Amino acid sequence: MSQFPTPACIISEKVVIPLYDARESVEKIFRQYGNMLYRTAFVLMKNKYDAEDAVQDALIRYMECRKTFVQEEQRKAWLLRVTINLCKNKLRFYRNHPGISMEELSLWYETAEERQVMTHLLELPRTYREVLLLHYVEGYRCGEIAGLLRCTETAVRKRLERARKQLYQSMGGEKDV
Amino acid sequence: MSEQWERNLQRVVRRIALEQADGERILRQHMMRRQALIRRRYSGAAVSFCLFCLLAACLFWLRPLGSETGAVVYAATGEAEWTKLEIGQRQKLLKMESETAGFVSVGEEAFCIFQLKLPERYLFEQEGAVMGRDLIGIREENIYWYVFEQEPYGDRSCMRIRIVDEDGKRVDTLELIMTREGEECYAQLERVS
Repeated sequence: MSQFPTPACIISEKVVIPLYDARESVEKIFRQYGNMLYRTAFVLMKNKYDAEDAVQDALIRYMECRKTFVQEEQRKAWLLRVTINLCKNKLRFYRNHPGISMEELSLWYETAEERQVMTHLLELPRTYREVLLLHYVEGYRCGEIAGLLRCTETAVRKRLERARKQLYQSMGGEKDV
Repeated sequence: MSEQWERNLQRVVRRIALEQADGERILRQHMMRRQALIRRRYSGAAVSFCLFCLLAACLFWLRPLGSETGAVVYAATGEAEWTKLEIGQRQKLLKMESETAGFVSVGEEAFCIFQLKLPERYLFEQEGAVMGRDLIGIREENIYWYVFEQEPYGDRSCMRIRIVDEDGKRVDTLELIMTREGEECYAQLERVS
């Protein structure tokens, strides 16, 4: 490391994380986390186009961001949090928020059972969808989800419990996918 | 909820993915927005810079009235040669043998001489300066700098010449900066705002 490190990067003991300094950086981030951000936004917005907008806005925020990330996990968590907050903001101002149709779900799901699972998931309240997504899909623990959503761990546990119960009931009890 | 159910939920949700065309479009739109943002920033910076230059130019040109009164300082730079001192320009001076026409004569000093020319209706007030044992003062329209060469104390001094109008209001201030470098004497005229 030179005496005067370039402004484009910081060096930690373990990993070099380049700050946003070039086009390639955003493209790399998009390739790495694009799908994750998209499905998060999709589950929250229930709309393909709004989800794409949210991802794009998240990339713009990343571009403007001047934070330093010592670990890759920090960057991932930051991107998720920004995307979730962007979706919340969009939903707050939508009166008649367009939902997804079964035809759109067919893009990804061939079987009716899979489409049904997704439909039931999307019918849950947003706060339940958030915690289900972060816990079961992205693999975050309750404490980590509390940090992402800026709430208490107890609140996360409660939401998870209620989300599971409601999804379970809407899918007919014992029935598995 | 069984582990199988959790795995299935994970599998179903992870099926949601951007199509390649959609992904490329998002990236493309992002780059366009980024370029627009940079253009806006640079144009904003360019506008700010232009405004700053305009303001600086206005402040430079719109100086208080009467700041240039036409006062001129000449320095003796050669035998029978007077050189007009330009603002900011450093000029080497002619050192002449001591005469008894100065304020003080102890026999060992040389002197440099300046002339102050003022337009009509203007007067001046001066503040004399001392550089070591050297003496600087104005008598009538001549400024004398007596240089005691055996006493090389100090190497820089200045004299302020305040130009006033008939009402005593100060309209201009000149500063005559005199320096000694070894055996040579130099002068530089500055305008004090």
